[in-house]
Amino acid sequence: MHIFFEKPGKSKTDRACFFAALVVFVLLAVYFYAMGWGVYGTDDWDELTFLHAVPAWTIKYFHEFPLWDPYLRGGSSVIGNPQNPSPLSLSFVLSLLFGPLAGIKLGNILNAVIGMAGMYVLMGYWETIWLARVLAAVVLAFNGAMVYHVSQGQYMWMMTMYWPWILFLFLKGSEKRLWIYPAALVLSLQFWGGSTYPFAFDIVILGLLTVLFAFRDKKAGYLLRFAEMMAAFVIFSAPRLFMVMESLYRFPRVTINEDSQVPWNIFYYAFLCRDQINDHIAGLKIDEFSAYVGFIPFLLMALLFFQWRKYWPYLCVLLFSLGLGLGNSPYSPFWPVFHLLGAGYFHFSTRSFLISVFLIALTSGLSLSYLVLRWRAKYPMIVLIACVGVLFVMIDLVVVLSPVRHFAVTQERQYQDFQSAIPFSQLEVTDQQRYRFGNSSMMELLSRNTGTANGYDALPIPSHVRPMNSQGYKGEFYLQGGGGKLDIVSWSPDQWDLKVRVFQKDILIVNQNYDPGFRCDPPRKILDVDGVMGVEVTPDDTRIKFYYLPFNFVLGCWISLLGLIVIGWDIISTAHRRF
Amino acid sequence: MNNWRSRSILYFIVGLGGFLSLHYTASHFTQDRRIILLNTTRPDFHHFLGLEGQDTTSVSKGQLREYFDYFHLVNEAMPDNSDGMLMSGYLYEIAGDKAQAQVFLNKAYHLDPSFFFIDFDLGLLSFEQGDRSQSIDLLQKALAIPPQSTINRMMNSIIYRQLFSSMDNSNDIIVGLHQAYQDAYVLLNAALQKGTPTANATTPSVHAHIF
Repeated sequence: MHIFFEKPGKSKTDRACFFAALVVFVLLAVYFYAMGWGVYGTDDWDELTFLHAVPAWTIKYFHEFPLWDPYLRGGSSVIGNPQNPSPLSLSFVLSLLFGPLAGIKLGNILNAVIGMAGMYVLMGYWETIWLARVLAAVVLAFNGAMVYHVSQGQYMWMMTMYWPWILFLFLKGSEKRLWIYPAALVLSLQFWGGSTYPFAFDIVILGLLTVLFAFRDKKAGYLLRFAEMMAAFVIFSAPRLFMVMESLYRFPRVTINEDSQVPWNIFYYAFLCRDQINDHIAGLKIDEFSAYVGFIPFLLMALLFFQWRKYWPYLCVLLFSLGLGLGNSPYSPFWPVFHLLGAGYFHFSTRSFLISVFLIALTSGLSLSYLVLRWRAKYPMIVLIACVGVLFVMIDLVVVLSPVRHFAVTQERQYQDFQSAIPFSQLEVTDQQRYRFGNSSMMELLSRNTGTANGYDALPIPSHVRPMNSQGYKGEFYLQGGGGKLDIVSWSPDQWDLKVRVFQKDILIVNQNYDPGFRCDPPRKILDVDGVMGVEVTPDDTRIKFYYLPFNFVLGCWISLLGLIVIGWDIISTAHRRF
Repeated sequence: MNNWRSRSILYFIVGLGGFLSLHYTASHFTQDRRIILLNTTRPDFHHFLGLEGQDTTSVSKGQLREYFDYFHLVNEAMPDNSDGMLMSGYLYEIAGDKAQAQVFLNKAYHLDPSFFFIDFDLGLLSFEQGDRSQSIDLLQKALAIPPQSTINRMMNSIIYRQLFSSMDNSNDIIVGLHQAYQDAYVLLNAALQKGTPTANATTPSVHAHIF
């Protein structure tokens, strides 16, 4: 038993304990995040499974690298959509192997385990006791915020599970420079995984900590390391980063800062109240502010304020995240400032509680470790209390958050595989309310190789296409003049090969949103014809092939390639000098 | 290689990539961005659709100002789009400022000389200013455009789609178009009447139209 209260070593007992903890972690992850296996729900489940399925099925059925999504709102970039998982994300690889829905759920479980393992490692940075690491890991992966968001299909919040790894590697990087490369790599894996809020919050956490560390140690070197890490991040993610920047610039999501003045009692209802189902505060929905951790971790976190001198940068960031959650409260200026400083894309100030729960997990573990190490000689009973306390936290989280597991997987949909034999078309879902708030159908249409011309996306991508069920629909490809003949030789999401025969000059129209990233063979200028794509065809033309290869993607690939050579050179030369 | 060299090269590559990406993005997508931002400031078009034929005093000044401001932004963001110019001309016509209406309708005509509603509104304005021959030319040109072409033209317009999205009943588009063509015939007929002492004596109760 003593091992629980010591710093982990390398003995057989230590290893056995580690694997026992891993088994508990996996069981808890399966319990919380494998819910509704084989089915998905409405709204976000529908939208985000759709975003997962398009690139996975593009690879699986059309053997192409997914760059263009012809199914969403008349066509948009896959890699440029910040919420889309990319081929470099874990859940995407699993989607490719087991199908999109199973991939998402397996990815959630694995990401939770990765997060817990990361927390275990991060706590080792302060040489905490074994039990404290377990406590921090469990609070990180199974708090109210995580369970709520994932139960509603917002799997990209799972990217917060990379935070402990990033912070650990960043802390190591502040000691030894080369560690910033793995830190940047994990940061970019998070970005490739389709996270928006987690990534933005990550930059906030690391940026603030960097400034506070520099202030604490009177060393500007921290700022340099942070800049280097961000530069390496750009190298690792350039193809996606440049495309995402393009999408965010082209389709700005302007949210008005209309978050209400969040009252102080939000902290009780978010972190401590054991009823995490009913809305307790007028105008605020619990699924947006729930961050239940329970009384014990919260108390332990509060006790760490007695260790202010040692841990004040972390506690400052924690206080900042709590203040951010207060929205437009007159007592906290953070949210309006955050919203103004380029964060206009975000809404719901209480989402900053994701940062809070991460830091509560961290600080509660530090606090527990300190208390046990400090007082166990004088009060041996504290050892037993700590053990029972951690066990109680686990049981409490399971009891309180179990109802949340079933909260959102309502109106279940059976997963259907893709039917590639059906010719591609696009439909408009006529009743807006029906698809967004009641009975989502993007995934259902997608499985029949059908796009949703007015489907939902967080970015305001304008749809210019004529859906099949609208007046004036002429097909997915047609000649503007009407004469001549068109045959589709091959169709895939990224490429369209057409046989064309016209007797006079005409414009070949493709019923997809115009994007200058498209090219055609033989080379022609792609025209913007009332928002959709067109290309001039002459009687000499017999074949026209369209394909999507945007400038920012190509540029990003080159930047990554050149940057990786420099990083490799840097690592090798530094290692060579050292030895 | 010294560390500072590798760092410098790394920063240079990142800076170069960032610059090229931003330059390309800004030069290709600023127009799209402006349109999206315009959508966020888009007023409620429910009232806009009922403006024609109304006494302008019954339309609140604030509401009219809102539409003026919006289409001013549209014209700034999309200087090559005739529909924004048409809407501004139409609003000035409703507000009784014929001179400004003429300016904007001429701009719209310059950008798209073969759209029924631009020809019709310019024809109405010419008629009201007593320029019968120009009015006849414009109205004949307008009426030569098949209604189906006009419908197709409107359906392909971002501005018209914004307007139509505010309509409770899509049949109103057909009704509005039918009324506009009918008014064009009435106006042309009045313009073709010879020997009338004054323009006002034969001015039919025809209003400006946008659909």
